[in-house]
Amino acid sequence: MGRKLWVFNLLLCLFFASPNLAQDDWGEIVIPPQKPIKIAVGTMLTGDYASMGIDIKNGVEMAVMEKGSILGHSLQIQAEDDGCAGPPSVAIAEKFGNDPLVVGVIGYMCSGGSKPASDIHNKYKLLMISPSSTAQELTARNIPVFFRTCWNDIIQAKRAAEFAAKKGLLKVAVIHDKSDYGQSLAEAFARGIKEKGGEVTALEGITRGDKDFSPVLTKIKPLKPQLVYFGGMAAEGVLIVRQMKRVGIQAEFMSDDGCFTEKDFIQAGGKAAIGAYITYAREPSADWVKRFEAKYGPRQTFSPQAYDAARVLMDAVEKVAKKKEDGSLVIGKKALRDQVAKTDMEGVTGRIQFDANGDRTGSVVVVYQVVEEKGKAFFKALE
Amino acid sequence: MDPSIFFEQLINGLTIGGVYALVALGYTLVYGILTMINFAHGEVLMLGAFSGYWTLSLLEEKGILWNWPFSSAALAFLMAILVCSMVGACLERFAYRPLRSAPRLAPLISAIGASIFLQNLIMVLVKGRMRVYPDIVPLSGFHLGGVFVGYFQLLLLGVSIGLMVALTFVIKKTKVGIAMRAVAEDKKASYLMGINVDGIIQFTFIVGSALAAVAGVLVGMYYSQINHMMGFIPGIKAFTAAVVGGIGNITGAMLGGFVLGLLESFSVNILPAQYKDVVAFAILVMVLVFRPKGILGEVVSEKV
Repeated sequence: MGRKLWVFNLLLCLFFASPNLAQDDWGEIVIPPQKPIKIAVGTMLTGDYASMGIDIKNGVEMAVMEKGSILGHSLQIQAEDDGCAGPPSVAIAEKFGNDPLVVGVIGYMCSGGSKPASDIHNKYKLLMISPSSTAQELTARNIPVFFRTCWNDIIQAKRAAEFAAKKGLLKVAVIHDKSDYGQSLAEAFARGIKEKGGEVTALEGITRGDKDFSPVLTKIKPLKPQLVYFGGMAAEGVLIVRQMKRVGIQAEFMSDDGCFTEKDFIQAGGKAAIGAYITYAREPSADWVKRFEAKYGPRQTFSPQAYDAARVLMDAVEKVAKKKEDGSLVIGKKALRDQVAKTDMEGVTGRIQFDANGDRTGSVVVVYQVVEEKGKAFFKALE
Repeated sequence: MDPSIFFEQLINGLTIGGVYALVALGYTLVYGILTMINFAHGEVLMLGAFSGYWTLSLLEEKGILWNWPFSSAALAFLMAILVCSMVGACLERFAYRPLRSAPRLAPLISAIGASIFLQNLIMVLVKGRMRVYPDIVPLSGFHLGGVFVGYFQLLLLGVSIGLMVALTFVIKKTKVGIAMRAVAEDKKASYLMGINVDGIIQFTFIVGSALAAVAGVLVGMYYSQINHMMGFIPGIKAFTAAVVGGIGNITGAMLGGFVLGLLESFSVNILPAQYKDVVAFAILVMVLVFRPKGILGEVVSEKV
C-alpha cells in the first residue's frame, strides 16, 4: 500500500467521522463507558448562608439518588462552594466548564454569583438551572443556557405590593441589604406601592452581617409607616422584626423568600415574628416534605426548587443522550438546551414550563403569614 | 433632630459601643504587651456566644432554665468565660508563643489561620446553621420623658462599663496588673526582676478572652441569633475602635468603642442608612490623619 493511499484513507475516515463530531452546533458532551454522569451544584457550603446553601445541595442530592442512573451510567453529584458571590462562582463555573463529565449545573445560589457565572456558562455552552437566583436581570441578558426554577424578583415584589395595597397598608418604609437580590426586590416593591397610589416614607440600606439595626429603625419610627418591607435574607430580617418591637415601631412587617425559613425566621424571631407577611412559592406536597425531612432534617427555603431543577436537567439528559456501541453516551449541548427549554413537567413546586428567557411561566408567588395556633408558629398561606 | 430621636440614637450608639469597647480591650491588651494584632479575637467572641448558648440549651433541656432564669444566665456567662479563657490561653501557647521571636508578619498570619480554624470548627459542629438564644431577657423597656429605653440596653451598658472599671482597677492597683505594665514596657528587665513573663503574657490573653466571652454572650442574648461568622464584623470594628482610641491604651480602647458606636448610630440620621459604615469610617480615617497614634495614643507609660 502506497503512502498516498494511506493519506487518502485517513481523509476518508475524517470525512465520514466529521459529520458525527459536528452533529450539534455547540459541540457534544461525551461520557466514556463506565464513567458517571456528573450533576454539578454551585451553592454556598460555608459562610453566613451555608444552611440555605446546603439545603439546596440536599434537594439536588435527593433527586439524583431517586433517579439513580441514566442509560446505564451512574449519576454523581459534585457540589462546590460558590460563596454566594461573583468571584468564587466564576471560578467554579470555569472548573465545571472544563470537566468533561459535567452535563449541567444546578446553581448558582445568589443572583450576585449567577450573573457573572452565566457569562462563563455561555462561553462553554454549559447549562445552568438556578433554584434560587431571583434577580430580574438574569433572564434579560440573552444567555440561552440560563434557566431558573424559582421566580423573578419583579413578580414577587409586585405580588407583595398588590397584597399590601389590598390590605390598605399604603404608607410604607422599605429596607434592603444592599445586595443585588435585596435591593432589586425592595426597589420593585417601592415602585409597586407608588403605582398603587401609596407613599414610600423611607428607602434605606443595611449591611449584611450587622447585628444592630436600631439606629435605622429609630430613624424610621417617627415617620409612622403602616408597613416595613425588607428585601434580604432571614439573618438580618429576623433581627429587624425583633428590633422593630424593641424600638417601638407599630407596623406590620413584610419580607421575601429569603425569610421563608422556619428555623431562622420563625424560631429565631419568637413572639416578634408572629404576624409577619412573607412571600414565597407554593409549598411542596406534604408527602415530599416528609420524604425530604426523614433524610435531611428540617427543610429550609430552596430545596424543592433545587429538587425540581435537578429533575429537569436529568430528564432532558435522558431524552437527548445517545448511547454508542462502546457504551459511551453522547449528549449534544444545543439539543440538551432545547430539550430543557421545552420542559413540561409536574414538579413539586407546581407545573414547570419555561418562557423564551428561561423564566418559569405562570409561577405563582404566594403570600404567607406567620401565625400561632395551639402554641406552634408556622407559615400559613393566605392567598 | 427631634430631641427624643437624639436620645434614642444616643442610647443605641452607647449599647453597641459598649460591645465594641469590650472586644477592643482584648485587642489593645494583647497589642500593648506583644505589639501584635490577635486577629482571632473576634472568633473568641463567637466561641463565647456559642458556649453560653450551649449552656442555656442544656439547662432548658433539663427544665432548669425557666425556673431559675437569672442563675442560668449567670452560669452561661461563667461557662463562656471558662471556655474562652482556655481557648485564649491555648491560642497564645500554640499559635503565638512559638513565633514570638519570628518576624512580625509570622504571628499575624498565624492569627488569621487560627481565626479561620475556629470559624470552620464551629461551622462543622453546628452544620452551618444559625442558633437562637432563648428569650430570657424581655424585649421591653420603659419611656423616660418620651425616650424609649430598653431594659437590656441598660444591662448591656452597665455590664460593659462595670467590667471596664474592674479591668482598670486590676491593671492600676493589683500586683499582677503592675507586672503586666512592667512586661509591656520591657520584657527583659521584667524577667530580670523576677517576673514570670510567659505567665503574664498568658494571663493577658486570658483576661482579653474573658472580656470577649462576656461580649459574646451579651450579643447572643441581645440580638438572639448567633452563627459561626458572627465574630468577624464586631472583630474588625473593635479593632478599628482600638486603633482609633490609640492601640495599646486601655482608656483609649473604651473611648474608641463608644465613639465608633455613636458615629454609627448618628450617621444614620444624617445620610441614608446604607452609608452608615462609610460615614463612620471616613470620620475615623480623619481622626487618624490628624492623630496617627489615635485619640489617646501617646500616653506610652500607661500602655499595657
